Amino acid sequence: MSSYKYTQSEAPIGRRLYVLATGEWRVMRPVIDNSACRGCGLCAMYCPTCSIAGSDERRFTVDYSYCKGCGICARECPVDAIAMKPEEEYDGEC
Amino acid sequence: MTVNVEVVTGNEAAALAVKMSRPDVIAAYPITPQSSLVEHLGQHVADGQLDATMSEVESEHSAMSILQGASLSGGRTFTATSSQGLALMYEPYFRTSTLRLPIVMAIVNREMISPQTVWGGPQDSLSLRDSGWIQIYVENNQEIFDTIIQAFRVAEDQDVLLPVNVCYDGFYLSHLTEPIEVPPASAVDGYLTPYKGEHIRLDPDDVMSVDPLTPGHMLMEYRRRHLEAQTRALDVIETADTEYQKITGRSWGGLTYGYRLEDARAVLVTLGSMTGAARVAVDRARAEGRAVGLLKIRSLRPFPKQRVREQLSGRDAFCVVDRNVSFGWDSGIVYREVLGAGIDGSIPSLNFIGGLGGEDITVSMFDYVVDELWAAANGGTTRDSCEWLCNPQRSGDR
Amino acid sequence: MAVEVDRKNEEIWEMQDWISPGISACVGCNVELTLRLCLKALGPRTVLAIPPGCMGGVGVVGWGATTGARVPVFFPLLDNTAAMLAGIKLQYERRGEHINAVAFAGDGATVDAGFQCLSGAAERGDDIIYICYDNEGYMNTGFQRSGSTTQGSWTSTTPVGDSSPGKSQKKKDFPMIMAMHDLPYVATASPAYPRDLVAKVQKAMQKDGGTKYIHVLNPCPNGWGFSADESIEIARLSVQTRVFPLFEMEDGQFSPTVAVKNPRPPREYLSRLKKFRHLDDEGIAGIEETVQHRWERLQKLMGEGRPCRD
Repeated sequence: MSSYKYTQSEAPIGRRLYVLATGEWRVMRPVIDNSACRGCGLCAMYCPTCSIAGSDERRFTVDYSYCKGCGICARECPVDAIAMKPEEEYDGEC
Repeated sequence: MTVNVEVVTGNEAAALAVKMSRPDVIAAYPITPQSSLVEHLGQHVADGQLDATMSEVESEHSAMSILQGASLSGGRTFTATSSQGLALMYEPYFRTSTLRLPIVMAIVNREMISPQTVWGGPQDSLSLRDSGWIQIYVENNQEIFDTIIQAFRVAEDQDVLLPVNVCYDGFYLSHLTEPIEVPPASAVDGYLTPYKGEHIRLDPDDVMSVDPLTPGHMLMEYRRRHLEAQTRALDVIETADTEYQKITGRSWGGLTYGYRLEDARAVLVTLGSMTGAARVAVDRARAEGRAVGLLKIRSLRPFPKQRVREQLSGRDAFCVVDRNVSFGWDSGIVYREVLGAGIDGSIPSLNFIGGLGGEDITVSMFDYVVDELWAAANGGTTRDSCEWLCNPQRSGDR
Repeated sequence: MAVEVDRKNEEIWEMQDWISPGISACVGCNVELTLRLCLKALGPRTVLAIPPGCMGGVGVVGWGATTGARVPVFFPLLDNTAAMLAGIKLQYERRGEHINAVAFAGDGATVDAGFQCLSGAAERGDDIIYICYDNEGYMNTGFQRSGSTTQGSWTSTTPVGDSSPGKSQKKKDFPMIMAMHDLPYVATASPAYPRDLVAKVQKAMQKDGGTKYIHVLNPCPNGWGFSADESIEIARLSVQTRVFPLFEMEDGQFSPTVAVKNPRPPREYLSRLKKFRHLDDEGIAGIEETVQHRWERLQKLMGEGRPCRD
């Protein structure tokens, strides 16, 4: 019945995942001192972008792909194991 | 094929048609003169004759919103309203068409407040004619019944996927009792196939976002497709009518309906229930040897411009009787629409406004209209402004 | 040296994230955190409604032909979120399929424009989970006031000047308004107490039938005037000062869920926020009085000695 082709859908929908490179926003980045970390996981729990994960040894690492550098993790860490360092010192590595 | 004859009001006829169309979800808010339509549906559900979920919503805005949710989840849906309810519904109403949801809504036409009024007339739905919906206007209870069933088929057609309004005059039809023929359920079930809403849906098994924020070039593309769907609907409406004729023997003409039109020198154009009185005037004129015909507009959107141009070209005059006003044009709305079809400007045309706020457009008023029309056909010209049809016995504060 | 650590936290940060990792929420936005936490609890069989506001603005519903979530998500209008969700749920019930029909809506869409249909849905018992993220204003569009803005706040439509001390009216006690609809479940929650928040979403999911309502207070760094890294601390302070007590009402029973053993005076919270900087002693006292009055009202409803779930 239909004889025409769509280049986009007939109705307003979206299928592809929208992902913004929010890691590029960073001015400061969180750096975790693993020797001081007690593995409580509060940093991971409070991270708004879910950028902190726990490893098998129950130490926590930051995935810098989407971390915006808000500093919540550093502030909430009960043992001050996270420091906010200037992003420019890391030359954009993720 | 056995056919039942039911003696019903327009609202009952509508409810019967909805029942036979097997909607999934109905959500409606009461408003005069629509209320008994929804009450009848509620009774059908209570009697176990209609397997639909009904939601007694707290406003018309929510009625349309609930239906959008149900439609996005794959359901066939229905609602009905009038004037103020339609106005309140306008915010979600517009996006029903631009989301391409095939919702069917009966509009029991009623005047818009102010002044304070409850009586019948299509000002409400005509004022929203550019909201992307398909709008079909009907003249009697049989046509209400037939058109609602056809509306589900047109709306859900994969070449259309647009919501449809079936509009009928409040009180004149909603509260008028007439006999109608009701086909067997099996015939209607064969005529309507289950709704497939794959083009836009909310389904964890087919993940998508519905209505993301959209840049202009894409919005233009969606609008273009919408206009194209309205154009395709012209044929789909015609086909729906001819296929319906196969199961019932009845045709309403599809986009327009012509009465004694073939050799007419002058044509009277009507919309809605006034057509009944107009037919009587046409018959009288014919009996007196005047070749007058009638063209009833059924589909106002999509506007059947080619059909209207064909039917009015080559005549000596035509006139449009409007039961509504077009503020700023000093005329009625249907007159402007008809002129937009591009008929040769040398053909004299007249516009009459009457029957607002519950006033009748009587047969004698139509006799007068036919006289004016015939005079225009014999050496008259187009008038710049409309003429008002008023009851001479009503004047002053009465 | 090995330290014995409370492992109760682990479950939440290990749960799957159902929102796109890259959305343009402000740096330090605890609404972004709240959204991700809620979806972790809700899971994939969720249809998510995001009315116009912050989360819509940051891309959760997508842009162009994209989507910002890994679950079905849509934009209702600002004022019909609860109604659209009700329709979705009604149709899924007809299909015999379970889904969570969930709203994640700002205070503007909830206590102002969308209140009518939310109240209607609640009265009809429409089976939806309605989560309000309350940042006390229309923040996405430039910090305009809402019915949920605290009295005395600077906002862009209640600015501070010689003849205006900020918003003159009190904050609507919206969780209480929803509780008075006799819903099966109503709760308040905070991003500073993520375990409590997740447990409440899970509780709402377990309630069959009726409208479940969760109200989250989300202090807004940009709109309220504090720095991004303080985002959780300010939220914690709102709870610890009883400005925003954490409670739940389940089938008519009110109970606290996070005990506040040594409540701080509200002024310790107000003084951290630029939006209250202009307040004089009278203005501060007025807010503290309202906080006290509402806390006493809530206490009466909670009754004596009801244990905290925490």
